[in-house]
Amino acid sequence: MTKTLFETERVRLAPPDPEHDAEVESVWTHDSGYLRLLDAAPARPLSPGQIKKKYEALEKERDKQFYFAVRTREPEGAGRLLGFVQLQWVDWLHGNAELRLGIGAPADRGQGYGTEAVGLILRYAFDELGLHRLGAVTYDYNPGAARFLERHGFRLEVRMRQAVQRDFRRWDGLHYGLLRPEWEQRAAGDARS
Amino acid sequence: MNDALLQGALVRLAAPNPETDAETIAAWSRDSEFQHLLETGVPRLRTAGAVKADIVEIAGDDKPREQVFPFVIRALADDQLIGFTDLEVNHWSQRNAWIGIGIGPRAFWSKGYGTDAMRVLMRFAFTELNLERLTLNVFAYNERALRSYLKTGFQVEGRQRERLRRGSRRYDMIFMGILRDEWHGRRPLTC
Repeated sequence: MTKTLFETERVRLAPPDPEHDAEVESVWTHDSGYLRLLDAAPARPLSPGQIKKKYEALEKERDKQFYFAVRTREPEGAGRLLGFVQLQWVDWLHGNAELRLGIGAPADRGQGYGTEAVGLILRYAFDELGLHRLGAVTYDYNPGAARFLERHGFRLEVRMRQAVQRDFRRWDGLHYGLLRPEWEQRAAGDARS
Repeated sequence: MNDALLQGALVRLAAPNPETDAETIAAWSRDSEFQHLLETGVPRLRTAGAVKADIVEIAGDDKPREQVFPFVIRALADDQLIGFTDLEVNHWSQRNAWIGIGIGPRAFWSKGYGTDAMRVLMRFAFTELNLERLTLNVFAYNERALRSYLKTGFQVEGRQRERLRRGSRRYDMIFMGILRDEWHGRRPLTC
């Protein structure tokens, strides 16, 4: 059972640490497979300097961008960077935001870190920010992400036909949504079990 | 004036002109229903100066943007400014663009002007920009726009549930798309 907003058993959410994280994240951006799982932008490796600029840009938009580094809890105070989780384009008028999540190193994927991080960010979005709806986008070449979202209660709402060109063919964009009452019901179920 | 690419049956698409168009467009912001139909943001009253600055920002000669294509819509009959439309390519590598369109004066609503402008914009998108698909969204309470988009060949691809809040009610956001081949198949009838 989660007792704090920023920590689970194995991970914690933290602000990015530009001095150390930029180096690590730069390595991830040299993995085009990772970038293609994240979004539809052209895959493009970034230097640590470019990553730092990204952190600065996020900081300037902190009223509508909630970006967290996902780190291991151990060792205390110096956990290893695993990835990021982000609420972007927070639309305060309508109570909506888009969820993004990435676990950078292939060896760290499939270990349940993403599941722990998403549990925190959903609670943050609905319980702390008071949002009504979260959206998330993936593509039909990434069935792992689709299953992940469905496992956390997201429903497929829009199938954007042939939205993306990759590997000599076009792929559909899959737009998911999760509403606050749906999350509350699941969270109450988890608390009982 | 007889540009076949940017001219339809009722309207033509033209470059937004910050000197002559800003005052008219600013006046449309007094119609809050227009703003509720057009965008998700908070309806704000806008001055001609603010609109002018926006046009310069988006369409100014000194800042050509490779990804955004803004137009104003003018009625062919008397060249009156009746609306605006823009197309934004999010990633050129994916050949998909997002479209927005608005017809300001109520006298021009429900008379086919928006539908005609959309057909011209689609032709521009597929023949000049060589795109593979076009995307737009429409708020569930905007039935007039939904009918118009269906007429031009857009298909409903889904709806974001309860994406919008207006007053005490929530509404879905409907997503629509049209593929290049679908547009090409319809073209003899529509352009």
